[in-house]
Amino acid sequence: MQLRHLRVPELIAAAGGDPWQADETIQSGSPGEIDELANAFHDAGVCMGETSDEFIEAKKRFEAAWDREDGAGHPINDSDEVNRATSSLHLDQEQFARIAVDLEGIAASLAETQKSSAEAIQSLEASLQQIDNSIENAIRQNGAQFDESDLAPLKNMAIQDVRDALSTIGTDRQRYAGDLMRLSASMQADGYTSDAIDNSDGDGVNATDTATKSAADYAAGQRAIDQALVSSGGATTPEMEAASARLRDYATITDPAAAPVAIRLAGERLDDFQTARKPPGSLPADPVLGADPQRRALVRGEWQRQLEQGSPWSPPMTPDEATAWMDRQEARARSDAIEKTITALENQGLAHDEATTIVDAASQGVPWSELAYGASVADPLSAIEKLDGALSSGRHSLPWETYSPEALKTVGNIGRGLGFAGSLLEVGVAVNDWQNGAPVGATFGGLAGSLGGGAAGGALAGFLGGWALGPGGAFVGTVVGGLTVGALGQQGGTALGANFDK
Amino acid sequence: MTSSPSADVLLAGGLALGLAGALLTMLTNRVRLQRRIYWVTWLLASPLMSLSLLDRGWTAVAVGMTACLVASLLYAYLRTSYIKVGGRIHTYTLFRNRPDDAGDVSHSEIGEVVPQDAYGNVLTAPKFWWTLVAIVLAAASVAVANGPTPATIGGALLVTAAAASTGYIDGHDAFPIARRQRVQLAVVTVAAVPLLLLPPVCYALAYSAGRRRR
Repeated sequence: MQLRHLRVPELIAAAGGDPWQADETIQSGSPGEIDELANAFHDAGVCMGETSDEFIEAKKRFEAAWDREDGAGHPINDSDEVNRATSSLHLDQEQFARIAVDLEGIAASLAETQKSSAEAIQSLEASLQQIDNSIENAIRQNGAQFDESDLAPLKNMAIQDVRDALSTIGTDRQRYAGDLMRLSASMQADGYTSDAIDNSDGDGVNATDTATKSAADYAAGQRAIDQALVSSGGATTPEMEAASARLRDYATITDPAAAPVAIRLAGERLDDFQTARKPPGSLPADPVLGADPQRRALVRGEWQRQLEQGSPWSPPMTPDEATAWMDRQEARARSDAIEKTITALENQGLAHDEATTIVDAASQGVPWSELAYGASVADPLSAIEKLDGALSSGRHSLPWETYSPEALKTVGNIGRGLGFAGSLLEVGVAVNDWQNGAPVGATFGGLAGSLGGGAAGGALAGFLGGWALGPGGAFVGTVVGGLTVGALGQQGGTALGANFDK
Repeated sequence: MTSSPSADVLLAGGLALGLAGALLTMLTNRVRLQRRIYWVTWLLASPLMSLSLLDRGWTAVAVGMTACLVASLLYAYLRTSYIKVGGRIHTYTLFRNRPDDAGDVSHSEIGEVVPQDAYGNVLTAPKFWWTLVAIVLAAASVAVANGPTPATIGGALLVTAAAASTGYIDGHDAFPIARRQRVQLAVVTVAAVPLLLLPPVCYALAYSAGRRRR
């Protein structure tokens, strides 16, 4: 592209973003490397039935989109990675096969994104060249230099083209980021973290860079305090141990010889520490799990400590084992929530691809309401929020807070019978009390208040808890609200009924 | 007055029947069957429990029968989908208002309609606000009957928290005040006088806070 009158930096500034830079980030990914790693996992696994079909399908997508040019080149040692998965992670052959499908899915999605991004840039450059040529021709025909006002309409067209390209590439990147997040969570749920493809996935985010940033934040504030505490001597306190652990993590991240996995895990711990100290609700909630990051970090910090200490049912873990264990649990919850949402959308009549696209976008933080409006599928999406279980406006609970849909149904089934028996028992007790001389108004007023209050409180607190905390909150709200308002209803009913006894 | 041994046997028999019926409903997921078990159980247990009051005369038996009838209807309406008249289910919560045996059927296939101003898939706006009225009345009754006891304070705080949470959600989700349930809001306000008007005041404050957080 040879532009004589249009200036790219000006167009970028006016458009509000740089499509060439966005494309460069995407093109830095290496789908060929990821595909080869997928092949290695595929060869090491046992691929049958549906898994085999999914792999072939993803492979076809990859082959159709890949331009046989990889990005900056971060070669992955496939056999080392397979060996690590076998010896350290102890994955079985079925897990290998499932991971191969996920890796091939990432390779295919990245190749497709690279292709569409390259096409968008190609089309943009052709259009800009055409506009630039038009300006040149006009100047030549008129034989005079155009002033700025003459050029403005053509420049505006060029700016709009840059905006369009930015939007197209942005949408593609968002879709890819959704795929990457979903498939990475799925692999992590199987016990495999995708550190090996971190430099090849073209998402512009690198775990080591993230950890380095966490270490820099820590060094800017807390590090000196921790150092002073550890050096102060005296009896070892829990605070001192925690400070010492943070200094150890900082040393790991800043050690050039440290393994990337160790750096990532140490970075996660330091990040949890810093996030836990932020005000609750000050950070945007996780779009999939719905957790407040500050609270999540607090919970993770506590679990980290407990897992390292061990318990009667779980032997002590190393810091890295504990962090990796928590990551895996979260990934399972994330993967589970995504899969359930996709299934629910399919139940609402959406095609699998359509459902997956919507969930990918939602998992990137696009509000359900906007998605519903934009995709003109408001009815199924609004219906989703009414479904029992793990779906409620994208809010979900962490594994240690989760009441699965099956658990809720089981609890509901038991509760139904117990509630029926309980209500009958309450009538029996009231009858017996009255028979033994209790006043009729207070007795039966209390009975009605208790029966009504329990249900009313359960419904009220269930809705409030569900709105604030998702299904877990709804469940706890229903139980606690039922009990407390039931007691209040009984007292209120007794007081009201007693008026009839006077 | 104490009950006679025969009265105790009748009462225990009624309760045992009820317990057996309750256990039976736990063994099936078929709503139609559960509904039959529920009503048959009450039909059998109610006379037994009521007859245990025969020592106090037939009027007492009638009061017992009425109590059983009211309790069975109240429970069925509030907590189950067992009241079905003319093919139509009458129930308190929205999520229970589904056709029988629709547990595994998706919502779109059922064609379920939830009003725009409903509180989630739990209660319609009028029912939600009548529920608030009921619990504010209960808390106010406790306050009037008992004075400033821990139960009064606990009840007042409970309904105030419920009203404030409701206000915040209404404001945050851009609904009009009380989702246009003006009669219920007026009753809540009057009923909350013994509670120092805390529930409606906190509702209003939280509503404003919710609007600002949007």
